[in-house]
Amino acid sequence: MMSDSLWVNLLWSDSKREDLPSFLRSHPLFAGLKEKEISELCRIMHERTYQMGEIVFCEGEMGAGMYLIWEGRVRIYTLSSASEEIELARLGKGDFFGEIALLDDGPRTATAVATEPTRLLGLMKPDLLDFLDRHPNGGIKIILRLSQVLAARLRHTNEELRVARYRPPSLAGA
Amino acid sequence: MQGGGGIKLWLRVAALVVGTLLLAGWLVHLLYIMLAPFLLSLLLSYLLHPAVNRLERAGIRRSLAIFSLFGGLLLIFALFVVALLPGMIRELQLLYTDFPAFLWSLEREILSWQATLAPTYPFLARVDMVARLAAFRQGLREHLLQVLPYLSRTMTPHILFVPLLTFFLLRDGPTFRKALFRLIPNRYFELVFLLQYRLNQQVRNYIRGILLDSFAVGAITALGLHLMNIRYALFLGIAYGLANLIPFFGPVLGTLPGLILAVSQGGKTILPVILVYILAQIVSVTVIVPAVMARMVQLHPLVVIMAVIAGANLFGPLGPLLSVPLTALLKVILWESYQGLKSLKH
Repeated sequence: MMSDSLWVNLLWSDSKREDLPSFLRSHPLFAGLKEKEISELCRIMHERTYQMGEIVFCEGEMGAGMYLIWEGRVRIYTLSSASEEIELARLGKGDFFGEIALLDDGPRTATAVATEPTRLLGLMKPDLLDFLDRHPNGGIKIILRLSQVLAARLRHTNEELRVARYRPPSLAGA
Repeated sequence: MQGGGGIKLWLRVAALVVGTLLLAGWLVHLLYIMLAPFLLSLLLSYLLHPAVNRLERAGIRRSLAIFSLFGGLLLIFALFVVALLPGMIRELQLLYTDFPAFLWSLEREILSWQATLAPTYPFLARVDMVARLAAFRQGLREHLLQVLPYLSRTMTPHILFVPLLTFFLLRDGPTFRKALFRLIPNRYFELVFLLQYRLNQQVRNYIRGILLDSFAVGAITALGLHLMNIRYALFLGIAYGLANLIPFFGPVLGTLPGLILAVSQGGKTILPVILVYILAQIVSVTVIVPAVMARMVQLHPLVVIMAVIAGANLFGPLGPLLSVPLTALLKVILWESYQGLKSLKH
């Protein structure tokens, strides 16, 4: 399976290249970027192809960046203390994951696995920092959108925590 | 169980490193003629990368930014040459006219030392110093005659290829890198990405640090010797700065031209010359090295000495310059690969 990915990644390249700018242009994360910035993003993003069931990254590993789903589906899960899988999300085209690795140097907080043949675009932290250095206006827009997504997720988590903590005793036992 | 896992991990790290080194060695063997211009271009692209980024940030297209930078550097180099050329020509003329007399006075000093020391150390009396000095003079003449043809032979490919390679490395560096990353299997993609990023940073810090250090040491030496009215101050400063590129041995070897010159001038200037060299080293060790080189990976002094000697034996004159950064990189590759593979779950 790994060797398949290797050859697919090596050989699959320019035939779909024209899709990439329009995909990025239409994505909310990159909305409002100039053409020059979009083509620079095309240059630095890594296109990767995954088979069904192939792991993108594992919880606890060192993370280098985030992934954007161009085609296919990805399942995100974490392991409980009893080593049971707790599904966190099922993601499809246009969704992105692993963005925490862009912001800190800690290990991956969950595992990501492709649930069907999937094409991902990897945006790595050093490349984003270089992009920010060269195109500060565009880079700040991306960081701002990422922060908005993270803020929304934090609100959602806080809400879940609030519900869990203040659940009435009668419901908690149910 | 854990021990077995550790051994397996080390085997994987060793296989990865040996495989990479074999591939690199094979490429070096194939592209040997291009190696020096390529390394020089790589060095220049590391140095110019931040400046190109800065120009690009100001709204200039990357290709135009690189051309502008090349033009600016050429202008600065031309101004530098114009500013220093009269002094350099004067020193060269002085050296040309003084050289026979300088050699003669050096030989006279050596013979007088031999005469003084021979009663205490009888083996010195048995050395035919006159014949040895004549052979040295002959050897020196032959070497000097070979310098110009050697320089023109070795510099021609550099002058042709280095600007071209540097331009493409600066403009298309990310594209080349991305194409190489397509070869990496998905499971190791992030690990290899992080590894190359950290290596890149180490190399960049090292190159910038060592060049800044050598420039500062050379400038302090040239200025100090000039203020003390020592002849050929500019040449001695440049020689000391270049020698400083070699770790450990460089600063010692670099003092030899100045000391020989001081001896030939009667020995009165030995102390001021030594003081200037010491001052330059104090500034280097106390200010520049801690500020700039501290980020570079630390190697044990014994490892550095062994690496320099091995480098000189394996790669000739360039060996001592390259051996320490290469050893440091090997250490980073081993350590980061081990850490990265350890974090992989399966």
